[in-house]
Order: sequence, then structure tokens, then C-alpha cells
Amino acid sequence: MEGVSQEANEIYLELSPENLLKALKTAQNAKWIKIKLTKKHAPCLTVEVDLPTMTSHTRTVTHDIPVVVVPRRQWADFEEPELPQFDATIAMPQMKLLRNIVDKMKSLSNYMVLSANNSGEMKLMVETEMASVSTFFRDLPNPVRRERVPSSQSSDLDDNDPNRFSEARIDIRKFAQFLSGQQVNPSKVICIISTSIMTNMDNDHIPVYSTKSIIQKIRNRRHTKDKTGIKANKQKPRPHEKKRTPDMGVKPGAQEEKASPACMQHPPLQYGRMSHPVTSVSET
Amino acid sequence: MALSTQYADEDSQNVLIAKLDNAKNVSNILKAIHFKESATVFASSMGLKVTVEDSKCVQANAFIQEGIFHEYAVQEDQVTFKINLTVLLECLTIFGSTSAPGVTTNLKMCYGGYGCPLQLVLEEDGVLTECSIKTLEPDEILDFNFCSENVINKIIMKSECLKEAFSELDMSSDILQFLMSPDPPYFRLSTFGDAGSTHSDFPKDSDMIESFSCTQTQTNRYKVSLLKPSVKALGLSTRVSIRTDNRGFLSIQYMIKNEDGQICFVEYYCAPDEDVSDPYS
Repeated sequence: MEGVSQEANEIYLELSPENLLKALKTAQNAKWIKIKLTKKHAPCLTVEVDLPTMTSHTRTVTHDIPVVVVPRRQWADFEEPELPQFDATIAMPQMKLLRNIVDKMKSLSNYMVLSANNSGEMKLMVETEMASVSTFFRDLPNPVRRERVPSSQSSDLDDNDPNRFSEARIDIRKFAQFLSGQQVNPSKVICIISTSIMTNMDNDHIPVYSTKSIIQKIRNRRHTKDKTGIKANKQKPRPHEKKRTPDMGVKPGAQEEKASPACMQHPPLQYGRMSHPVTSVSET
Repeated sequence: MALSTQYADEDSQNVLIAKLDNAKNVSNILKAIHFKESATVFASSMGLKVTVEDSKCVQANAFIQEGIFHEYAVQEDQVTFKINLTVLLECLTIFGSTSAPGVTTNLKMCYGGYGCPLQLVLEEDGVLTECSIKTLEPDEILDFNFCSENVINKIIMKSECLKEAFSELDMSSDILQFLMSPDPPYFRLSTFGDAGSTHSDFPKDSDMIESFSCTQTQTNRYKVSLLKPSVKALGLSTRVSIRTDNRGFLSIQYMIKNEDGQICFVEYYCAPDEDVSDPYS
């Protein structure tokens, strides 16, 4: 399989994950599967699945998943964004534990505050009229910070106090969705709190190319370019609100919509809506 | 509501302090009576009693005696407050319902007195959760006035077969009828549903029945909707005692063994369904 050209040795495709999921579901007991980019009446990702049978005949199931080939001029939209200026970066605790806790907190309120500092402490908090629940994690590794993009909004004072917490107020349901979506338990998940928050997943067992593939960028006030169509499709929108104490406040609800998801463990696939999904099954 | 992470001078400030190593020993019992959102908690030197009521017809009480806790202190004679049981249970099970074998959640409960919130501190594997739950003005609790002198019929049996009978209850029936008698069929549970009636008979010499003392034939009917929540308690229990008194009131007591082998009790009181005028079957 070749890319567009020698220099741009990639092909960007947009497809509906549901279609791919359905196709892959039939492959659970497959002997092998082949994935090809084909041109039927429209460009398609053809998934051929070889299934075992009781007799000696082979049985091949073919799925044609319509895709849209993303033109080169739009490739820049899918570039992994730079890690922004951040206030705190910390490795998250065990996903399973987090999932349990967040699921319970979900029933108490819609919003929670997630805070972290550079001393390895993280706190999750939910507050309602009836109750206030906080969970504290200690001894979490703080990854070494990389080159920081200078920003006028950060103050150097933050660097000096490792115990100072940075907090973000987030929608629990979306966070819980994100956590429950981690089917392959990553060995390390890094959480970054900043004015444009991101969560970056690092899975040591997956080749380098795909480790960087999870970035969710929140469209905040600074992003004026509206990449319609592609970015607007959300699988798991995560509106994160940032609250930096005490002077820079981001109003709740300001960034509710449009987060552009990227999926994990594979080269970035952007989710799109296809008008006439076609799946064909043939047997030989 | 600011949550302080300091642990204040406990003995003088808190009217109730209770600590135990395994929060499940409290949460499991409370789940057995969780059929309404709010519960009333009574703390005395003997332990905790948590009460849930519905429609003034059914009352469930969970007893967690002070021996269950490894530390327990009550400063006043009786401490009473109402609390949201749903929220309390979510907090007690904050680390998830199942955990790795051998890992337990430590629990500490503190209550500062009238108007103060109930504070919980739970710890599992180095992770700490603090909860502060508002308490409410306690309601008047019904006194079912169920005393041993008025008990007409009493049966103590193993929970197993009763569990089966209750799980097979015809839910299209509004009522569940209890027949208890010194004569055959001795103990019969009946439902009258859309498809017909069902009867489950338990002969008094059955292995399942540990003690049988019925003095009078009594047939009483109770609303299925009121007794349905008791199935949770039944599921956790090993033995059950069923008693009816001269007014037809039902008392079911469930003996529950917790993970550490300690025994706790849950009891359900239910008033008979008054739409039926005929007391004899």
C-alpha cells in the first residue's frame, strides 16, 4: 500500500466507525482479515474476512465501507496539535479505579472538578446541595515537562510552587464515557490541565506513531477557524472548562460544544457521516 | 460546602464516631433496606439502627451493632438524623462494588451533632475519599407495636427455599397471602395473578424449617409492592424468622452474615392489606 506520493506516504480516510465496527464484529473468529482500499462505485475500505467452516470450503465475507478520501490540502487539519502551555501535567491513576469512582460520582452530579499539582497529587471533587465528595490520589508521577510554548497567560509564579493545584471543571458524563472507552488498558495515561486542556495517552506497547494519536482539542475562544464537517463530528465531545484560580476564570458553559475527537491505537481516523453506508456480504 | 482535610480533634467534637476496616459490612446491610431515598439513622451505645419506611405500611430496620466496628463511640444517649440513603450508599461504595480479593475499604464515620453533616472518610489502597453528606430533620418513625406477647404464629427457617419462592412470585398479583397454621398446609404462600393462583407449601417437618410454633390458623394478605424490597434482605440472609401477631401484622427478621463472618439483622414490618375483609381462607 502506498501513500499519495513518496514525500506524503499516507492516505487519509474518513469513515463511520459504526460501519467498521460491524465489519470487524464478524471477524471475531476469523482466520485472517484483509483490509483494502478499493474503488467500487465510490471509494471503499473493503474488509475481507476468512471465516472457519465445518467443511473444507472457505467462507469469505466481504464488507465494503464507504469512505471519503481526505484531500491533501486538508491534511493539516489532522495534524497533532502542539502541546500547549500547561499548568499541571500528571500521570493518571489506574483507569479501572478511576472508572469506578467517576461512575459513582456521576450519579451525584453532572460536573466535577479535577485538579492536580506538580507534587503528584490529584483530586476529583463533586459538590451538590446534598453532599460533597472528594477523592485524593497521591504519589502519581509528574512527567517531565517538554518545551513549553510561551503564552502571555501563564505566570512564572506557577512554576515555583509544586503544591499549587490547577483545576478544571468538567462534565462527568463525558469523562466517564472517555474512561469507559479505554478498552485496552493503557499502561500510562497523562492528564494535562491547561487553558486548552488536552489528554494525552501514552501506551508503551504500541508503536510510536500511534501513541500520539489521542488528542482532543477543545475549541476555545482563541480558535477562530471553523473546520466544519470534519471537526464538527463528535464521537466523544469533551467540553472541558478551565478554571485557574483566582483571576483567570473561564465561564462554565463557554466551551460546551465541538471537540474534535481522534481515536486511539490506530493512525488517526476522523469520524464522518456517510449518506449511504453499504455493507455487502458474499460467500465463496 | 468546604471540605476540610484535617482531622479535627475527634473525641470532643463528634457526637458519633465509628470506624471499621471493611465498608462493605455496612454498605451491604444498607443495600438490603434501600427501597426509599431517605433513611433515619439512630445511633446509640448499642450500635446503629437505620430505618426506611414506605406508605406508613412497611418499615425496614437494619441493625449494625457496635461490635461490627473496631472503634465506636457515641457521646449522647441517642443520636438521630435523617439522611439521603442513596447518596450515602454511593459514597460508601465509591471505590466500586467489587474489588480485588483481599483489598478492603476502610471507613470512618463522624457526626458532629444536630445540624452537622455526616462525614465519611474511605480509604482503599492509598486512595482517600472524603464525603460530607447533609443531614436532615428526622421524621417521626412509626411504631408498629409488634411485641412478642402478641405473636400468634412463628416460623424460623433457612432462607434458601424462601428465596426460591420469593423469586418466583407472580408479579401480576397485587397481594401475597401468608397462611400459617398448626394444621396442614402449615405454611403457604399464595399469589393471585392474571394467569391464575399459585401456592407454595412448606410442611412443618421439612428440613428447611428450623422451628415451627403456630397456635392459630391465620391468613393474611400483604401488598406485593410493599414486600418486594425485602427480597434484597432475603438474598443476603442465611436464616429468616416469620411472625404474625393478633392484628395480622407481619414481622420478618433476616439474619445476615457479613464478609467477616459477623452477624447482623434486618427486619421488615408490614401491615396487612385492608381491602380484604375475610380473615379466613
